[in-house]
Amino acid sequence: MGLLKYILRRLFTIFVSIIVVIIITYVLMWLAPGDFFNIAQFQASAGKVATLTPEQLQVLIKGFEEKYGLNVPLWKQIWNYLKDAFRFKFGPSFSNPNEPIEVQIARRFPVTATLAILAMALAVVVGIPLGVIAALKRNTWVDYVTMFISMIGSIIPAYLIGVIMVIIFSVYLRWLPTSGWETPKQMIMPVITVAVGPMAIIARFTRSSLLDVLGQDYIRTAYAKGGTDRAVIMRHALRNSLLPVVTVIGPQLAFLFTGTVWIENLFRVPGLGQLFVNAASMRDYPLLVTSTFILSLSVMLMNLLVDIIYAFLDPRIKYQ
Amino acid sequence: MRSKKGLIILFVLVSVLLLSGVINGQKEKVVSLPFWDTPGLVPYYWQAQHILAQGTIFEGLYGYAPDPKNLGGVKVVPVIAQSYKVSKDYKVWTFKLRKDKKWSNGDPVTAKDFEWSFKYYASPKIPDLPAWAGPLQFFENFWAVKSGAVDPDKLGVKALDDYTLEIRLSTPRYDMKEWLCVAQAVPIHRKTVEADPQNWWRPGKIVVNGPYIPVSWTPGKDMTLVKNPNYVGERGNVDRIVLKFGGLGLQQYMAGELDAALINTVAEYKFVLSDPKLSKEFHEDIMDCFWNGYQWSRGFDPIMDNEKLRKALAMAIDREKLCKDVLGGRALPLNKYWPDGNPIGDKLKGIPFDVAQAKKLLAEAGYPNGKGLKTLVFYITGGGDPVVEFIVDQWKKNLGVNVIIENIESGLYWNSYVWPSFSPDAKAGFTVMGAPMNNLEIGALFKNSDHTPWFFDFPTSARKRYYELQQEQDAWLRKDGGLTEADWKPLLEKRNTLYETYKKIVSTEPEKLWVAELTQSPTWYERFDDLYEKWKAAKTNADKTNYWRLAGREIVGQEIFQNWYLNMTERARNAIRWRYRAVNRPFNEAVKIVHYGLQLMQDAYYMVPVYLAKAQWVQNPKLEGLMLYKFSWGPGFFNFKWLNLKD
Repeated sequence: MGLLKYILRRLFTIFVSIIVVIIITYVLMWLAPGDFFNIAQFQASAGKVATLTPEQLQVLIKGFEEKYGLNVPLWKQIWNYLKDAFRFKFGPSFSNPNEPIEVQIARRFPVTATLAILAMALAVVVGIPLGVIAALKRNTWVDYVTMFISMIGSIIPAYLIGVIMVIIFSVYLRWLPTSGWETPKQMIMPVITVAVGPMAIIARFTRSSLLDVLGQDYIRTAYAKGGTDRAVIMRHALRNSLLPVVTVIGPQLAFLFTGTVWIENLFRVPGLGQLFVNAASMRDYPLLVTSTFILSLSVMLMNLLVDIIYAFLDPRIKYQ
Repeated sequence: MRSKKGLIILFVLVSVLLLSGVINGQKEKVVSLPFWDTPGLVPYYWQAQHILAQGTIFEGLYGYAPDPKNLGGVKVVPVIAQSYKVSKDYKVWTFKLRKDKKWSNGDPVTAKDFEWSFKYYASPKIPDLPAWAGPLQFFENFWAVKSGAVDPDKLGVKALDDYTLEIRLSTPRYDMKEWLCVAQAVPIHRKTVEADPQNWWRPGKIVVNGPYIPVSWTPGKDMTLVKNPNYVGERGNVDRIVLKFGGLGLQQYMAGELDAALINTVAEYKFVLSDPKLSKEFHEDIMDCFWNGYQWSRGFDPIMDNEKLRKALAMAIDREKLCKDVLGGRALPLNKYWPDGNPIGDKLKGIPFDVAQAKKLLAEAGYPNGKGLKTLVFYITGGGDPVVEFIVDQWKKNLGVNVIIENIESGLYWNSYVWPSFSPDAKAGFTVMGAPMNNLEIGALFKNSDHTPWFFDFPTSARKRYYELQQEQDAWLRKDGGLTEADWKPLLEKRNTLYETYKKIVSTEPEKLWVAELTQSPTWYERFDDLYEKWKAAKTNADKTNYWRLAGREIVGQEIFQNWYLNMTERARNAIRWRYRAVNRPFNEAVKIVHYGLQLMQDAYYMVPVYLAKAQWVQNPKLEGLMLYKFSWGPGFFNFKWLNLKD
């Protein structure tokens, strides 16, 4: 019951926080110089080629503003947006008037989610053991090599790793297709490329957290009770050392859910990143606000999930 | 019984093989090409789909055929049109249509399809139509229809019978055939659109009249087109085209996943040339529908009024060195808006690279060896720009002029620094300019250099006034008042003063074509008087305020014009006059005189050409008929109807 109450309270906080985020986004957009639809510019382009009376111009601007909901005061625009956004209705975007934003998101989100989950799973499956090995073999060549690899993974941009993989595995070895997102073969390189960064972070966090736990009194006690390395590490140390790792994984996954534009473009993965990345530079307000909405919602929900997982990892944590 | 079953199986197998073309030796011919990511397939929007609409999935009355020697590498050919007649004043165009053209569902393509489609595009149902990108803007009553003031039936287009289309224009247009090649001039299938106005364009639903039908589309990934079985007309032998969006083009090509790939960097270019196989598959062409260089910022620092300074800077750039050392041979030096070797470029005089002369000019400008000249700002966006770094370095080395590079956010850069009429926040300096032709039409032959007379070539004080008046004009949309005669008094007084000046301008302007436009009814004062009469008859306060606001905008509009006309240099006025002369004659004739205007615009040194980019690509040697897209959005490939894949 405590958990349910806690979740409901957190969901309410998320709801309020999203409203605040959207208000801030709208106000910032409103303050930013440079409009998508600039009356003077419009008139300059239209007026050069035709005699557009002010009367016609006025109606024309009105039609445009009505289509995109810009014909009402700012507070009402925000209200209208929020009203629809919580029902996942976002209206048309400036840069793609062909279809509503929610249709575009519905098509792209499953792709991004699959890529994010697969990549994060790979990062966890490889990153945690790497961290454990490095911690257990602390200050040996195994530790140095493992940490060197993880450092390289976090230093080299994922994009570059992707390009190198394409050149090796597609162009020269011809083992894998360069791009696409239909067959498992096509998914291998994008998933690895996205996984490398989080994998390196998880490995380093696991290492330092495990080292921290291994120095605790209760580990010494467990050994004193005659526990084997395997039993002590698996049953006592690793589980406790995962708390900070889970804290890292949550937001990482949330960011992956909003797309990884370079990787998507490189491997022609039809995900959300490509959709959102141009929103700001295009002054595509509906899309820009929606990307903020989705990102904030993902981060907050992931944080909630992480907090819930804490309780399973550490029974001492109680929700009130 | 068993043998009967066997026979049936054999029959089915043979049928399948025959259908798939295996037995008769016909293998499906598939071509994969890089393409811009398309957000949909509605032809009239200015997204990548407009390029696909031109001749691949849709066709209009006219279209492009490859002609490497011509401007843009294309020539205009009749597609659905069979013949045309034009009135003496070039305002009424009558087209006879071919009778054998069909939609992909077998329906005939008729003049009524064009009439309905054009009226649909022009209607207020599509408030965000980018009208500047198509010919509808010139149709009689287009703006009145678009604004909802008159019924779409009043638009200047009519199907006189099933195969005769009449287009009536508000002003003469000599290049209608050229304009009718673009995406906004293709028809769409009425029944499909009306049945599902939101989704008619989706693969599986869309009915097209071009040589290929889109059958699948994944934004961010790819689109597949197959041959339209009902297409009538010349086309290549390719059965299926897969358009791939994004990815590593050259690597996809090397892995055998693309039949052509654009080369995007100097490193790729060098790699291709050093590879024995790729170097044989290498092609290049110049992007002569663009000029690349810089423009002065659109701010209000009087320093830019100094013509000798502008000229000195334009002359002090070693364009040869730039193309060789910085652009690695992927561009040609360009010192005029059109290059040598084409009918316009051959008649233009270039800006010489002459450091001694530039130094002399700089001294005459009041800044010997750059002394006394404030630090200028070169605005860029995105990452570093080696071309800008080179230019800045040349100015420092050759003239002693200090220029710093300032990187600004891209939305702000394009909307507020590069393309607005004016940038009040910009300091004295420059922005990068890659000025393209949007499509083949007479106005575009000026490649946006006509911004010089429109927004640059008059004193800063007048430019600033122009900007302030624009702001004032916008403010009129929201002004309160207009309920009493007293509110009209200042407007009426201004109207009379402005009218006197207007009369003088009209009586002294030597270019008749310009005068004709200025005096075309309804003129600004006729519209003002009409609004005043409407105000008198208005019954509600809201209507009264509205008419008063609109009248206020008319007055400020005229003030803007007079401020511009009276303050512009004679050179700018002459440039505009040549522009009028060019756009008022057939395309081929316009090409012969357009250089007069261009030269005047270039000689103001506000918009300065520096280099001409090359399009470079590798291509499957078996592939023929690949057309390079040289206009705005280019380089890329388009008009796939000509593709041919050799065995």
